[in-house]
Amino acid sequence: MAELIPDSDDVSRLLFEPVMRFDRDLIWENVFQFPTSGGQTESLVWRKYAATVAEVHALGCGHQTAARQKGKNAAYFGGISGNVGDIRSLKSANGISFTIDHFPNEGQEHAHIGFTAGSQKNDRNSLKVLLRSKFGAVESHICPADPASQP
Amino acid sequence: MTKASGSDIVRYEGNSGPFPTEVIGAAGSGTTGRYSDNFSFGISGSYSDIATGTTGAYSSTYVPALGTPNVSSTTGTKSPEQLRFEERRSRLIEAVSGMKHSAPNWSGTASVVREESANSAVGFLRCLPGDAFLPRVAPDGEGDIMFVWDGPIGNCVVTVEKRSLHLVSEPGTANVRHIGPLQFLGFRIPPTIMAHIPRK
Repeated sequence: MAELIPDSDDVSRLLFEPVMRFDRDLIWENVFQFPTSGGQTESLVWRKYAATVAEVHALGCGHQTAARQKGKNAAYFGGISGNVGDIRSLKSANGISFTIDHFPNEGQEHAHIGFTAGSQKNDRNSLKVLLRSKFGAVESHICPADPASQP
Repeated sequence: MTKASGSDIVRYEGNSGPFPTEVIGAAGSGTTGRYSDNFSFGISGSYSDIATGTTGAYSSTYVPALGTPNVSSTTGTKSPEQLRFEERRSRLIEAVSGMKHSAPNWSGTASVVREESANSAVGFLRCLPGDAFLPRVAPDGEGDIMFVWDGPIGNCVVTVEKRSLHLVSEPGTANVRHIGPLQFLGFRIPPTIMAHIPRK
């Protein structure tokens, strides 16, 4: 059953290495893309149910394993974390903000971040830029099952 | 073709396309083509490398390389700053063009941008004058291209969506402004957008 996520809680975003290599000096790292194909939402980990970073990384490793079983070349490399209230406080010039909702159908810790109704392109893309500033530095990880991590 | 007095200006003549026979524009030197896995990753740099103090170079009669003017190359004297500007712009154009085939994302999935948006984004880059700070670029997740100026060079986001431009100036501040969508046909950045592009 879905619960309300309070402003005082934290959430994390699992990050996977881009399939392609790129020049970090040229590419702005738009880690929250809210793809149209995904209903303009992104997934988050509600830290109520993954209190330690080790638990967050375990979820990332699990996603990596599941993706690879489907033939995808996903490589989890860490997570970034932010406060729900800080994220919800962001607003575009038109008053659009973020929604963060519990989505337990995909796991007890699973949450979705999206936009309030009526957003336009400028609302969404400016909020994407602002959103990154509410998350901290990457807490890196290499999954034990990843062959690249083996000696 | 002769080099005009501006730093990043080249005068094109003998244009056989549907454009005026003599136009002034930025000397776009970008090469397009498929993005390669070997593409310039690991190159370090910073905004301090960007050219400084070149001319405005913005002209309402600008026609970009997209118009395939019939020109030959020029080897006029250019300052190191101009050369760095053009080199970075070329790399940005290559990155944008590559996103038609594969765009970076951090979700473990594949993504691309719309060809029409990528082509317009290339046109946008070629229209930027030599005294503009060059942005960083990203796929926006909706098939379009975002140009982001942040940190010491400004606070501005331009999204290229097919043949239109959207701009947010100073997001997250009391001075935030939304402009657009405004039509962009690849050869002239609307002045109301251009007025907010960070300049040196």
